[in-house]
Amino acid sequence: MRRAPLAIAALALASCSHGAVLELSLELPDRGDARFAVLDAAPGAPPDGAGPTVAFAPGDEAHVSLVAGADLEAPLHVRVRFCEAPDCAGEPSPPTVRARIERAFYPGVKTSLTLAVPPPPATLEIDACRVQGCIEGRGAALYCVDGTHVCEL
Amino acid sequence: MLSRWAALALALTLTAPATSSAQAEGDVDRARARYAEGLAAVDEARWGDALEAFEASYALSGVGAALFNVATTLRALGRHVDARAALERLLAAHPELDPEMRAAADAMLREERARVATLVLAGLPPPPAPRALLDGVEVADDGARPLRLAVDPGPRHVVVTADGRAPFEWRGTLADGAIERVDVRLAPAATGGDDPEILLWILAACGVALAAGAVALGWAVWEADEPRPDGPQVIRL
Repeated sequence: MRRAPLAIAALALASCSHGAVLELSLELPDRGDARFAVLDAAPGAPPDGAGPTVAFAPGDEAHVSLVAGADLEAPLHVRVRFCEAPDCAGEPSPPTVRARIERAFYPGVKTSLTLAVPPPPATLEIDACRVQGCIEGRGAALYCVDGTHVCEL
Repeated sequence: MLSRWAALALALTLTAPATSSAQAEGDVDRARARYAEGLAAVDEARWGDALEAFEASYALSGVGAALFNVATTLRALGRHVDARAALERLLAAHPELDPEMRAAADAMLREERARVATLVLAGLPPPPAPRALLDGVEVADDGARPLRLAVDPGPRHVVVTADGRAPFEWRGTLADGAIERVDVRLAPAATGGDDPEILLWILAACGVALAAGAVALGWAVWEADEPRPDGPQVIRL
């Protein structure tokens, strides 16, 4: 049948791996001695400053969309530095809050996480089950039986 | 974090009658085993196996989490009509659901209701009506006219047959939530011999058109499902 290969191609296309997005909302602490809360992130290891950053005002509720690269399963490291400059230039050791998210991304799924950022310095460990949102995804969108979120499977 | 297994065990324990017999305890053990099989099948994207396992787990345990997974597995299989029914049953029959699971089920039910399409078969005579087949399966005819069928979105095929009449056939692709009216016309059966070569060409052309539609649909699905950032502040890792 001529149509069989085409139908298979269509199904294969539909099942191609997808990207992933984490919608990260941050409740930033108010720090009178810093003008900017500068956020960056990296998978697998803490950010080294080479990647892109976004800057917010301390005390604000911030929102950033983190678009996954190739590695979806590695822990996601997020860093918030409280700086005078929007890129923290010339500030080698600003007050910093670090967060390690056990797992943030799932193929083809938009997830979300809201974090109350404590005053720096602080380090947070974020369990995978705090990441919400797999209900919108394709495929493995089953409920996590521990009752805390829908992303585990 | 409470493990999935521990949570299920707890749920099953909590739902087991205090005076459970050895038979009931055996059912709980089997329910746990089938649930674990379902989880393993999901991890390997064996959705059919997962559905069978979760259905068995639910039949044995009556735990809402198992029925929730039945519903989500049906959804993953594209069986939105059945997923909708499972979610409605879950919400109606399990008042003990924790608020988070109930909220998730509510949200999913809204999605499934929006996805289920409707085929309206107009022109069917009243019962005893001709046989109507939807994707090869005879549909239940409650006598209402026009006959409304809740169907999964995607390519659908309807055949209506009646004695002394040429079969009526309809093919179409239904979008999520679409309502499609099909005017069933049962023409008298042809008496002459149709040219089989022409029929073959027509069938081949239909096949090519169907395949092209499938490719387009696959591309559209792929595009539509790609998650996109919500806001202007974006970091690409």
